[in-house]
Amino acid sequence: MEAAILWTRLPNDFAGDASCSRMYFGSLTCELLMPTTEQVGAARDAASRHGKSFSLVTPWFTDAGLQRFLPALSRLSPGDEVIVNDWGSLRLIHRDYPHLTPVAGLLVTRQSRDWRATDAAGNPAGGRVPPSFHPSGNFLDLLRQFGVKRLEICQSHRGFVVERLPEDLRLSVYLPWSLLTLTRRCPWRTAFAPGTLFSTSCPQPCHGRPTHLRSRYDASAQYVLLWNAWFTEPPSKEPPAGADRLVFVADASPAGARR
Amino acid sequence: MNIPFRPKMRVVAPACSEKEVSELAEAGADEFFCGVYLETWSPRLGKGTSTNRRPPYKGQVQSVDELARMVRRARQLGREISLTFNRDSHTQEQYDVAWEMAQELRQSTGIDRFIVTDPALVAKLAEQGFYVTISCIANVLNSDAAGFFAELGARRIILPEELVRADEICGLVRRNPRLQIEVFGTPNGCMHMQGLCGVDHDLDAPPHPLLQEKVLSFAPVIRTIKRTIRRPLASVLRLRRRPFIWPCALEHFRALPLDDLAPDPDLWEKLESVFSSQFLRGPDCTFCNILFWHHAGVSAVKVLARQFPLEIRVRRTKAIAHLCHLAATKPETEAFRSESRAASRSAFTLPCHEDRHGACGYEWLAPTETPTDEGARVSP
Repeated sequence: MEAAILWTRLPNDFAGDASCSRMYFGSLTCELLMPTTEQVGAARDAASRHGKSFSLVTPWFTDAGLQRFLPALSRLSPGDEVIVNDWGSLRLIHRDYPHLTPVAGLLVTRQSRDWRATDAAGNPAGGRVPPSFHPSGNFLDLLRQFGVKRLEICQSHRGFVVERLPEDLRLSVYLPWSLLTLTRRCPWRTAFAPGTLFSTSCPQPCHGRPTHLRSRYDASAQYVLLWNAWFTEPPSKEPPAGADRLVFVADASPAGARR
Repeated sequence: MNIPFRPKMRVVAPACSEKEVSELAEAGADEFFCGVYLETWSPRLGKGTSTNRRPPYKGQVQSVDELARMVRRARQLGREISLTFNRDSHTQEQYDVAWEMAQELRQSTGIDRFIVTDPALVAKLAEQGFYVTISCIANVLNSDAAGFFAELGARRIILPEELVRADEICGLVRRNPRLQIEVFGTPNGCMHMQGLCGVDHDLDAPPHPLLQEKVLSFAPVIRTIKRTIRRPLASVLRLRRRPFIWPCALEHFRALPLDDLAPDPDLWEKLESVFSSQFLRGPDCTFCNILFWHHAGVSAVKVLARQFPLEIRVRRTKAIAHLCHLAATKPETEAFRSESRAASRSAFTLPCHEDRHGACGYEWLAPTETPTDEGARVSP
């Protein structure tokens, strides 16, 4: 089982991590958290120095965000992965950067993620169809046309069914949390940088601040606010069968992420 | 000031029956969209599952005959109707069912316009000659994503509600001249990115929209009561409130300090003030933006939503149709805004949203950046 750690920023004293063989670097949920071209280059070099494989993680993009991001691709080496979470960036990578390997990220693989879809015993809510990750063969064929050989999902809640992919496709699972939803109307920016909402730059007040939230009215609603996204915490840390790579989110706190 | 001639934007309204098609056409709708739930297909789709993102019995057409009547009526009126097949993902079985349904419905009702999210289904339908519109759930936020779907055969794209800046919409329209672009005239006010959200609202039980609207019209009075009477009374009587609030809304959270991070009271105080404000709500009125969209070359404006009572849909369609006509004939911004604010009051039966900070789409439009398009310039 391959292990990777997702960094949005490398710490100054980054010394590599013996427990993982791959570095994920970039932003999963927000284009304004994307590292600069120089930072990507530095991370790529650090990965190489420590003998790690490298994957650049990219989020959804507006036109402006995509233009800011493209120069960073010149810092990658042939065979490096780009985790794409936007159909536009998948098209660009496939057409203009054929030496890079696209990976279908969480936001394009469309997994069921609502924690209420199953009860504590893992039964589907209201007798409905069990929530699942079971993409159609047609969807997988389309991804193959764009050079995708790996798909990514989050750790699922109990009762979620994760089907095995065909032999030529691989599956990664993100830990420790399951991405529930995200927003462009970032509460961090509103709280700490008012007036910058929807501007094209951000002082990034969200860094390294996972905040656990619990509803005042519903004990089952417990979220983690990280970056501009809300996560839920599946009780089980066992990855589904068929996954061959685990991706730990470093901002979830290094100690907690790898427990 | 030379402003190029642009045709009036088309108003796309949700309909659930032939009668509604007639009434909405009278209100000014140029096109319609609908969803269908057919019992005969449900064993293969999955219990409680439709081909779109609504539950089986909310805002759905329930029979092929009714759909056929709707299509016939729309075409008699010189209008088109689209069918929503916008599930964001399909299992193989669901994909096969969706494809079979599309073929059968085209054959039996004549409907050949579909609103789709799954790129595999987009490619299949487009290849077979269907007119494919990309749903907002596909989360097309940039020109390359629009190009991705255009290359699969899509003819129109519905932009997600998160794309609200004038320059973003204008840029996307300009870079994709062969695509029609549709935007929301009445967004639903959600703060999350709809196309990327994993919350399943079929598991919630929201209040009836008409009732909610009536309650909201008393909002200032309710706020005063809450502030001066209810809170002190509740603390004395230890009343526990269980309002309906979406599980993804921030108003009802409190932070738990993490064991391995020092609690930060400043952090929580700032976040809590944001969580309990309305500022993070998405806009639910974008009427003032209609003039900018017209100049940008947007093709259509969408009215929400299928599950709302007809009265609400007719009211909002009338307002948007009036504004789309106005935008095509009278480009002066201040005069337009005066009309759009009045239209907003009548459409939502609430004070203009500019008075409700955060819910106003004009704020999010960032009109300080004047949208331009080859000589068209509209003063903020």
